[in-house]
Amino acid sequence: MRSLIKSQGRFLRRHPVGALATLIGIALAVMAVVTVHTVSQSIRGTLDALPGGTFAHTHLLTAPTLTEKGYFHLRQRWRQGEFPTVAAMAPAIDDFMDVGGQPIRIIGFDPLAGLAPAAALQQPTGRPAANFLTSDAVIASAAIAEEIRRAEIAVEVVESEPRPTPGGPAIVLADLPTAQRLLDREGEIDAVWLRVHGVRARFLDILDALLPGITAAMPRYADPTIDDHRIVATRRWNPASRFADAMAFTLGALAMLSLLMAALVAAQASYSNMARRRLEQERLVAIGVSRQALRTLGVAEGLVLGAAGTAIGLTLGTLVAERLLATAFGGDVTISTGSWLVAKAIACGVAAAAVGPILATRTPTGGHRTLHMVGGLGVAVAVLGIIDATLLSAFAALAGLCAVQMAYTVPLFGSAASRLAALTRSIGARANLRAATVRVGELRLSLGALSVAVATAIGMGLMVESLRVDFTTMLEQRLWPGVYVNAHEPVTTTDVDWIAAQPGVRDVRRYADVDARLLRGPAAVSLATLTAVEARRYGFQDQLTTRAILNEVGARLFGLTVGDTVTVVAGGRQLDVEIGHVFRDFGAPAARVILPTSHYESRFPVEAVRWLRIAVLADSDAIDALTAALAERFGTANVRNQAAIRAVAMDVFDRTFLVSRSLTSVALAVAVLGLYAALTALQASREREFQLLGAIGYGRAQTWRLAVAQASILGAVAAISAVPLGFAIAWVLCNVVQPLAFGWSIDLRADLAAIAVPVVLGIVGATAAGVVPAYRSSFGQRAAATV
Amino acid sequence: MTVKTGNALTVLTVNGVGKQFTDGSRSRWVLKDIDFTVEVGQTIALWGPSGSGKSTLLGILAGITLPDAGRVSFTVPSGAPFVVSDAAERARVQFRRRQLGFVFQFFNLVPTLTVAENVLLPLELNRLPERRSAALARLDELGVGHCADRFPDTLSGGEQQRVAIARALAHTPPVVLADEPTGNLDSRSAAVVTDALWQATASAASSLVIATHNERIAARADRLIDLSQGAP
Repeated sequence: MRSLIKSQGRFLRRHPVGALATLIGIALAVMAVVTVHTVSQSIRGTLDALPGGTFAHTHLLTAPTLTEKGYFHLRQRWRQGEFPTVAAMAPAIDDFMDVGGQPIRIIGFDPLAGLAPAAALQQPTGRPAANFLTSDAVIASAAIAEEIRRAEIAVEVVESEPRPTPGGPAIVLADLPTAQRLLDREGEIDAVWLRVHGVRARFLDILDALLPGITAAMPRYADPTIDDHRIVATRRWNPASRFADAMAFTLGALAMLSLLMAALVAAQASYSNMARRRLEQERLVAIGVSRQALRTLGVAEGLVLGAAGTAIGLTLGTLVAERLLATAFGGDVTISTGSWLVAKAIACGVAAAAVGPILATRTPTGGHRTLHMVGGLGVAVAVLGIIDATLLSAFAALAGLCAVQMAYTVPLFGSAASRLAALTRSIGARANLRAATVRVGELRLSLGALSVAVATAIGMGLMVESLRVDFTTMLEQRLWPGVYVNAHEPVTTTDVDWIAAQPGVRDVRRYADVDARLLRGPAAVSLATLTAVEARRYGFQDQLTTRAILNEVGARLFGLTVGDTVTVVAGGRQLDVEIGHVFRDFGAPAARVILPTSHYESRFPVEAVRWLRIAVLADSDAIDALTAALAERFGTANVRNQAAIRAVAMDVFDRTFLVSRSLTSVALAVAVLGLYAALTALQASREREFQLLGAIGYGRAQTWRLAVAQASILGAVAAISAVPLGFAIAWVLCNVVQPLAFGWSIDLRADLAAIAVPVVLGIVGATAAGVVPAYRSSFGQRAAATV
Repeated sequence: MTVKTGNALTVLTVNGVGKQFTDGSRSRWVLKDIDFTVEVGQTIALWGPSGSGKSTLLGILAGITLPDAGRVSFTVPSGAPFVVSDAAERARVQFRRRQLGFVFQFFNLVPTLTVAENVLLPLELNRLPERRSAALARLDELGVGHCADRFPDTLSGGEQQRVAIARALAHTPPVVLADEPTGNLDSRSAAVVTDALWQATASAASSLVIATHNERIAARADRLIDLSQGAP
C-alpha cells in the first residue's frame, strides 16, 4: 500500500493539470450550488420576514348558504370523527359595518374555539384583553375606535391594530354574537375556520431547507374535503405570501436543477481524473493489486480534492451570490447561510468527488444495467409525473426527463452524429463524427450536465420570453397612451369634466374600488363602465352591462369559468353576477373582479363607492402638459404617465428574471468548465491515436483542429439534444407550474433566440473547453515523444 | 540530385546521428554516431535488444523526433535532398505524409475508421484520389479485401497488421518504416505478416526499414544495422 500511495503521489506530481482540473471542476460545481442556494435562501428569508397574517386557521370553509345551524351540524359530524384531518373548527362572519357612513370591515369569530387570533387579542402590554372575552366589545385601531364612539355605536372598544394582511386596511374584530348584532345578521355566518393537522409539514420543511423555495407553491396540509362545501388553504389568500412564493418557487426549481447538474459535474471531474490512469491501474491489477485497494486510494484522493474544492466553492459561491443579489436588489437582501448550505456543498463536492473513483475503478460489467435502471426509472417518473399533473409531480417529471436525457437522449444524438459520417467525404471528419459516439459514452455525466444546463436555459428562456410577450400584450392593452391618477380623495364628476376639457384629452375613464367580497372568499372588487372600448383593455370585444370580468387568479382559486355565477357580498346584501370573461392579470397576487358600475349600483348603495382612480387617454404630444396639470390638481405623487408605469412594470419584470437568468448562466458556465475537466482527461487518453496520426502525416495543428472539432461535435450533441428537453421544461413551466403555483397561464411560444442562444453558447463553450486540452495533447511534450 | 552507392540509388542517408535522454540530472546517449544509407528497394533491419534505441531511430528517420547529433537526409529521384533533421515542423510533416509509410507494433489503425477508410486516409492527406482503386486492390493482395467495410476492433491482430501494411503503401512511398510489426503476433501470424510486408514493399518498389529483435526477420533483410552496442 505504501508503494501505491507513493506511486499515486508521483502521478499527481507529474500530471498536476489533471488534478487541478478536477479541483476546479469540483470548486465550480460547489460554487453553483452555493450561489443558487444562497440567493434562493436569502430572497426567501427576506420575503418571509414580512409580517404575517393575524389568524391561526389554516383553511377556510365556505358554501353558497351557510348558517350557524349548518355550522353546528358540521361540528357534530367532526366530533363524531368524520373529518379526522381537522384539528379545530370555528364559525366566522366577515362583512362591512357602517361606521358614520364609512364601510369598515368587521370579522366576528368564536374566541374560545382554539382559533382565536392570539396576537390581536393582546394589549400592547402583552396581557390578554380580558374585557373582550367578558364584555360586548370589539377590537379596533385608535382611529376606528374614535369613529365608533363618534357614531355612538353601542359597543365597548379595545384599542389595538388588527390587520388581516400586512399593509392591508385596518379592520374590526369582534366575537361572533357581537359582530352579528352590529351587522344585523343574527344566526348568519360567512365561513368556518379550520385548522388542519400539518401531516406534510415536517417533510416539506426538510425539502425546503434542502432546496429553498421548492415547497413554496405546494400545499402544506392535506386539504380536507367535505361534501357541498368549498375548502381552500388560507395561505393562498395572503398576497404578500403569494408574491414571496412565486419568486422563491422559481429559484427553488433552479436550485434543484443546479444541484443535479453540479453533482454530475463534480462526479465527472473526479471520474475523469481517475479514468485517465486506467492503463496504469490495469498493470497494477495484473501484478496482483486488488481493485478494492485502488478504489480506496482513489476515493481518498477524491475526498482530499473534494474537501479542497468544496472550501473554494463555498467561498466563491458566497461572493458570487452577494454580487448577484446586490446587482438585482441593491442592498435590500441580506445573505443568509446555514448548516443546510454547508451540508449541500459537502454532499455535492466531497461525496460526488468520492463517487467518481468508485465508478472509474469498478469492474467493467453491469454498466448498461445501471444505465438502463436510471433511464427506466427516469421514464417511469416522467410519465407518472405528467399524468398526475400536480406541482410536485411536475418537478419529479422534469427530474425524470433529465435522467432520460443523460441515459438515452444524449447518446442517441451522439449515435445520430456518427450516422452523419456516411454523408461526409472527408475521412478525418468521419473519424471525428464516429468518435463522438464513443466519447459521448465516456463523457456521459459531463455531457449530460451540459445538456441539462442548456435545456434549463432554453426552458427558462422560452418561458420568460413567452411571459414577456403575454405581459407586454397585457400592458399594451391596459396602458393606453395617457396619464393615470390614483387620488387620495374621491374623484368627482366635476373633476372628470375638468380633465376632459384639457387640451389633447380624448377620453377619461373613472374607476372605483368597493368594500365588498365574493361569497366564495376574499377578492378585490372594482367598478368600471365596461364599454366595448374598455373591454378591449382586457382583451375582449363586447360591451358588458350585467356581467363581470374575473382575473385568472380568481378563476383558478374559486374554480370558476365564463358563464358561472359569483355572489358579491357587501353590507349584508348580495348580488349574483355572471362571469363574462376571465382576463389575464400577471403579477396579481389575489382574486380580482371588475363589475359594471350600473349593475353594482342597482343593488348596493352608491355612497359606499370610492371613485379614486382615473385613466386619461390623450394625444402623445399633450401628455407632458396634461401630466403637469393633473399633478397640480391631484398632487405630484398621485399622477403617473402610463409610459412610465409601463417602464416600471417592465423593469420589475426584468429584475425579477435577472436572478434566474444569471443563475442559469452560472449553471451553463459550470457545465462547460466541467466538460473542460473531462476533456483534459479524454485528450490524454487519445495521445496514442494522435501519435499514429502524426506518424502518417498529420501535422500538430491538424491534430489540434481534429481534437477541437471533436469537442465542438460533443458540444453540439449535448446542446442540440437539449432542445427537446428545453421545450419540455418550458411546457411544464408554462402549462403546469405557473398555473398551479401562481394562477396565471402563459402561451408557450417558440422564440428562436431563446433556443439558439443557449445552443450556440453550449457549442461555443464546449469548443472553448476543448482548446487547451487539445493543445496539450497535440503540442505537448508527450505528443512529441517517439512512437 | 541522387546519391549513388555502387549501382544503387540512395534514398535515405544517416550521418553521425545521436540521441540522448535525460533522467533527472543524468544524461544518457541512447544512440551515438549512427551512420548508414538506405537504397531504393532495399530492406534494412535495425536490430538490437529492447532499449537499444530502435524505435527512437525510426522516430528520427521519420522526423517525429529530432536527433541531438548528426543529420538525416532524404533524396527523391526527381528532387533535391531534404535534410529531415534540420527541417521545420511543417516540412517534416509534409515529408512524412508524402515519402513515408509507417507500420507499428500496437495501435496501428484509427479505431473510428473502417478498414477501407484507414487505407484511404493517406490518399486524402496527399490529395491522391486517383490511387484509390490501387490502394483498395492491395487489400485483396494482402488477403484482407473482405474486411474493407469492417472496423479495426473486429479484426484479428494479423489482419490488422496486414491492413496497416496496405495503408503504409497506399500512396506508394519510397520508404516504409516498420516498428516491431510482428512483436504482438503469434509465430504463424508473424510469418504471414512478414511475408506480406516483404512482398508488398517489393511490389511497390519501396525501401523497408524494419526495427526488430527477431533474428529470423533480421536475417531476411538485405542489410542489418546492429544497435546492440549503440552503433552499427
